[in-house]
Amino acid sequence: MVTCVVDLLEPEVGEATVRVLRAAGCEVTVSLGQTCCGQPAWNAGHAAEAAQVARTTLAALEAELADGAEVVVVPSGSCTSMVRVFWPELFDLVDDPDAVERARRVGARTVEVSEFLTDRDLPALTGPATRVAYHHSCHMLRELGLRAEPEGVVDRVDGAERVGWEGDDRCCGFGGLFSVKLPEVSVAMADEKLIALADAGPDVVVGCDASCLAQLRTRSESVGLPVRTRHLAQFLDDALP
Amino acid sequence: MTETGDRGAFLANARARLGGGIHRNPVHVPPQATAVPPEVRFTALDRDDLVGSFVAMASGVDAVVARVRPDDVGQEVVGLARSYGVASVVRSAEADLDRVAIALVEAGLAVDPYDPAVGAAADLGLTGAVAGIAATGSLVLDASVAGSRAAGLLPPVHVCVLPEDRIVATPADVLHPLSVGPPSSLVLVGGPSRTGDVEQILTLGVHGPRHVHVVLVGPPA
Amino acid sequence: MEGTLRGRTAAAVADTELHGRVTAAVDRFVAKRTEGLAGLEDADGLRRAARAVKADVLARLPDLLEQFADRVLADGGHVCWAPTAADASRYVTDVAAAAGGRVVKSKSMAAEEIGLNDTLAAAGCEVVETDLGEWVIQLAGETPSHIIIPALHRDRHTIKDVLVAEAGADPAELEASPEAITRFARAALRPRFLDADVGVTGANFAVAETGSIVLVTNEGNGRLATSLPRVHVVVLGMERLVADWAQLDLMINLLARSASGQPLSSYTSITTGPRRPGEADGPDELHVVILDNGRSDLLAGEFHEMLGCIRCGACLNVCPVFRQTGGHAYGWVYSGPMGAVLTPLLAEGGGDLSDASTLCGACMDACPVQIPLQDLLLALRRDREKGVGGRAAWAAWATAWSSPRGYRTSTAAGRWGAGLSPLARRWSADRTPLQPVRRPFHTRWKAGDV
Repeated sequence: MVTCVVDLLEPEVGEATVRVLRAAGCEVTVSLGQTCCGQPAWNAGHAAEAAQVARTTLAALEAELADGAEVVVVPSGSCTSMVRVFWPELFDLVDDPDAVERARRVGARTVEVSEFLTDRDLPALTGPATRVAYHHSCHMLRELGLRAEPEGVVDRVDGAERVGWEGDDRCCGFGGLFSVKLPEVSVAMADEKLIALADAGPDVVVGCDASCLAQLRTRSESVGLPVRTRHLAQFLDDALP
Repeated sequence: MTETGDRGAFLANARARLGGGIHRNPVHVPPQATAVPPEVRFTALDRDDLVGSFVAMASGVDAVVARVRPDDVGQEVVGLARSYGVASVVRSAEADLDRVAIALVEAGLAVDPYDPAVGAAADLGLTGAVAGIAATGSLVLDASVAGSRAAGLLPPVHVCVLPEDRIVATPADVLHPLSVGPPSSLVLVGGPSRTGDVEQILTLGVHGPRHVHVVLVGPPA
Repeated sequence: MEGTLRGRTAAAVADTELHGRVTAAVDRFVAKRTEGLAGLEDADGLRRAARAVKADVLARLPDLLEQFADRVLADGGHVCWAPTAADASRYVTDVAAAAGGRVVKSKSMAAEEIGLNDTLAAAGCEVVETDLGEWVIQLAGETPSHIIIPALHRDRHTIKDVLVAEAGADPAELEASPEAITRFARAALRPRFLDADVGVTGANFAVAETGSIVLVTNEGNGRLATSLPRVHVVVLGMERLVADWAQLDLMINLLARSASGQPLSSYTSITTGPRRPGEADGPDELHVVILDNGRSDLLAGEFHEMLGCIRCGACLNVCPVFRQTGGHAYGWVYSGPMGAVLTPLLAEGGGDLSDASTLCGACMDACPVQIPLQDLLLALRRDREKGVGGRAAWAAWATAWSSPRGYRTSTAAGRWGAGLSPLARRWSADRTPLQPVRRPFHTRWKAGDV
């Protein structure tokens, strides 16, 4: 599942994800029937509209799974959470019990990228000595419970040195529409993360949600102290032979 | 005594709301309702050394604890009073404070039974306690035993005489027996009065005592 | 509530001094909480149990309230059933005026909620807050900016300023230090305790089994207010019950450690009925005002679990938004995540407070009774959107994006549409622009480039 953020704003993350999955020995398909998981409308309080869009993506993923795909891999912690954790509630709220069931079945086969790669072999991953600050995005950490998985995957890159930094699991301030509804607070939240990053002095900030990385990156650029960000998939892709 | 307002309507309203079943959060699903909680267990509690645990925890909340033999209690309290330059002591009513009171009087201090005016004027408040709680370092003050609530609260120094064998393990040991009928006032006291209201800097001795001393009375020699 | 949420939060964010104070305070509390909970075996299991216990209490609330009230009456106390804020304020004011009108108050969020101090003052009663932070904000005419530290927004100097301006402190004599300020407050307030006719407090918990009132405090003012004045009035939120002592034990251990990391607060005072014959202090008269004020509306519905809140402040301390804004930006007596949920439910206005969240979930992880705050915030957004415009925009989005073709067509332009441009401008005011790309992933995939 590509996710609309990756599709429309950061397609390189999608490309890197495909390459990494192939390097892990997978055959990768992408359904062109998918659009979005519905999270923007869901978080804005518009369940009906969210369900309308989510149904389309649900059907697309179902079709792939029926067609032989074994697992749905998602380069986003928040979109994975939407599918796995919130879709059943969403469809229940709009009185679609059939979709609730289908969502549970699809959700059971849907995993976030680092979660998927944790138990899979990859070719030797090497890179130059790189200090990596890993940013824990909120849904991934608190809804999916994934902390060790992405950290472990970063550690598999020879040359990567993960550095601790203060507030690494605190919200970056993106929060979807929050970023433009309360932009001053959003930017202040990003600033505090950026100050902590400056103290830690990494070479790159890695995370599993492109939206979080965009929030940190674009703010850092705006204040003239740009921070280099790589989605985990890109970080791995960079390290592939 | 008197009841004001409409109990019937008030409760009928609440019952009507609850009548149709209670919403259960579908995503972060609540556990089954239970009336009986599990036992609260404490990592720092050594059940084989309740006194040691009590001393550690009480010190951790800034109470000063001294362990003395029964015959030395009087002198210990006199020593404390002298160290603070105390002239007047207010005491609560427990008979087991009588010997200490006598020692204080013999040392030249004024010792008066508590009433609010006496308490507000005294330099030091002398009380007993019905128990100590090892897991939290708390003193347990019971108004039905002490005859009052504020003898150890009004003065700037509180000295509490507590026999070691009254130290129990946990708050539950003090609370569970209350089912049969609590006193008018039971207070679990953890060290001096405190606030962090000014820049979150811990400051002791706000409305209650600045200094709390626990004189732990051991078994006879 | 003044201004807009955006206006209030933007102003708060611009106050760098406030931010420094807020972050120092919440960071300290978070560290203390971690340390405190480490003192309990299986703290998360206890939190889960606390959620289950609160569910039990709320399911049986009417019976427990009845049992509680009967016990209070049997012990010689008075009970007032107060469906509204006005009912509660009126009763308390009548009691206070009849008793002589001099009132000392120990901190009560419920009393703030109903604006009790204003009602008492209007009736000619002298009311003084006695919690140090509450006293300072009362003198300054402000509202609390944090549940546990109401004067968080003021440093030692601005606190001294208030004491000089409003409490007769001599600026040459009063040092601007925590110690000196505390000594000044002790001296200034002690006579008020001794002279007061009435002590008004809230209640952290009420035990149904024995009709007992539990106060969890640190300064000693709660104990003094319930020991010295002849009359004690308790403003009790109807949901603050526990059934018995085992349930209380669980709650007081979790409350103290979650709020400030203490094993128990300095004073956990449990009072049952008025003073007994032969006792040298304690009130002759006890009044318990059982307050509804919108709480029963929450029973059994989508926001039912919010009634489990024990007002510990842990959610405020971990909230990444509160950290940037402090409590005043929330516009009412409750702030942070619990305030963002309770305010629209209990008060007028505050409907947009659910926007003061990124739904990060940190609050749920910190709550000692595991209230699903994140889900409640989202439910509030749904409720709000039912009555409001903006639906048309989302409907258009849904129509477009529920077909792959509509999705691709609507996003083909490589730029934000007219509808989204204002939002894009808000983004790029302080961040470099985020632009949709000319060749989305699906185009590349379709073209065989991936």
